[in-house]
Amino acid sequence: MSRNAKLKRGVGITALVMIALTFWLGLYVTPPAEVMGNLVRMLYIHPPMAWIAYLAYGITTAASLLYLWKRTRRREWDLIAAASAEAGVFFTGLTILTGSIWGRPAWGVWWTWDALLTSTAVLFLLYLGYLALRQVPMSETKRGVRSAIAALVAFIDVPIVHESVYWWKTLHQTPSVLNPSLNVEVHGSMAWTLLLGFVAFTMAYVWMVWTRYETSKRQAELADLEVERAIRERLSVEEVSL
Amino acid sequence: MNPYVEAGYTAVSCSLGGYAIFLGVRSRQVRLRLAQLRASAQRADGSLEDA
Amino acid sequence: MVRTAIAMAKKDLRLEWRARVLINQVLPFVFVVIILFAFGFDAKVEILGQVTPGLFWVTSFFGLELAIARSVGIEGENQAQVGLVMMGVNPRGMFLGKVFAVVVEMLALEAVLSVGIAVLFNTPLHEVPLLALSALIADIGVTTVGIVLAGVTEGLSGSLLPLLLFPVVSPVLLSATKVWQYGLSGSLAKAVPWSELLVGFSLIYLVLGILVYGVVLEG
Repeated sequence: MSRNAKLKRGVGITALVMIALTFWLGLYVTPPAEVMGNLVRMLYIHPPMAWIAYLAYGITTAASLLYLWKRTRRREWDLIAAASAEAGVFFTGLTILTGSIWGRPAWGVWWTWDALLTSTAVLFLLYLGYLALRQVPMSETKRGVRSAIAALVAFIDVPIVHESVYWWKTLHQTPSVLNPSLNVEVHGSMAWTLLLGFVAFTMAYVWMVWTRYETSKRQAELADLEVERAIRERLSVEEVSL
Repeated sequence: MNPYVEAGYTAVSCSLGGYAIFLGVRSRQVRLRLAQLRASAQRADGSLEDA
Repeated sequence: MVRTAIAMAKKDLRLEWRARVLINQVLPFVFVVIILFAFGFDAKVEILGQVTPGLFWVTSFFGLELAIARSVGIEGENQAQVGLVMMGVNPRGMFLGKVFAVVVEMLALEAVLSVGIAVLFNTPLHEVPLLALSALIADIGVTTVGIVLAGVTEGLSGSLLPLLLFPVVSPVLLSATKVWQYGLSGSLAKAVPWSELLVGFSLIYLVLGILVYGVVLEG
């Protein structure tokens, strides 16, 4: 096994162990909160998901920019952007899911058109579109440039969507997420568990992007090789017929 | 334990696990296929040299 | 740049005038949407009156999307765009020209649409200058992003453009809807912050489009 593969396996195993530890601490060791009771345990998984979604989109943008800039244009940047966006969509989905599961007992509804929720949903759609664009067959450079532009537009749009939706929903009513009674004092073992959660899921994200990136790089190589083989077979057939 | 908390943790572990397995299986498939193709390409090169 | 833009806009508008795609296809389609909404809300005039601003902008979005797709599509025919790029035509001029043409077309369409909505949904139009101005600004915002994204999805399946475009321009549509809501109800003071927001968003998209369009042509 190469050093790279070993390192990747190390990251994967560390992520697994740390997530297991976070779950154990979050579910059994930390105390229930005063107001929210056991529901506070959602705190250890929901914010890390959201953080990784943003991290992933940030990395997609950086990689897309590096791809668009001709001096640093390499197939690798495009593949990293794609891998990171896929993980980003995955974690955005989990953010919405865990948020919804939190929202049901906390506010009594699965979904509300609150500023934060709405902008997260739009964010999810933005990058879903990006992934859909990548699925369409076209030449490699074409796909690279086009999806990099789409990623750039999407990223610039994130604060704009956030701002507009925030205005839309908070101009006349107070946002329900920031309801003071739900604010939790984070201290002691809770803080450590939360921190561990952030690190653990970030490790999982690194492993995901790494694996996805390697796979798509190999797939690109595979496509090249298959073309070569087809040409060779064609040539040998012609030789025989001659 | 709160049923919502249980549902949340289950959902997260199932999705993470599912995605990780998907990635792992896919990666393995592509790796094997690539090794196979490379081997056959080498064989083809070898037979050309022999001829 | 300005000369290219004018030439481009003239060309697009003349093409539209001759082909009449907007009048023959987009306008009827937009009315189909309006009637669908009426069905959806059980033709209750009270409800329709309340949601008129939103319906107007949802419908306009569909129209815009079609107009934008058409505007970029005509450049793909006969490889016209490749020719323009080869000749070294200023991409910013091309971009501005295309945006201008689509915005003019859309304003015409929206004028008909708003009268149609006013009659069919029984919503009297107040503060027409404000409504028209906000429509102009919102059309610019949507069209600039739209032309860029239509360039990105050019030659690919048609369902990609709305998927990519809608989330990106949702802030513009949201602000425009709010301006229309306050404009129609006659509360101008409340419309002011949303108008500012609308101008800001559209400006950002305009600048972004001008900067990015050259790269889009390359792809």
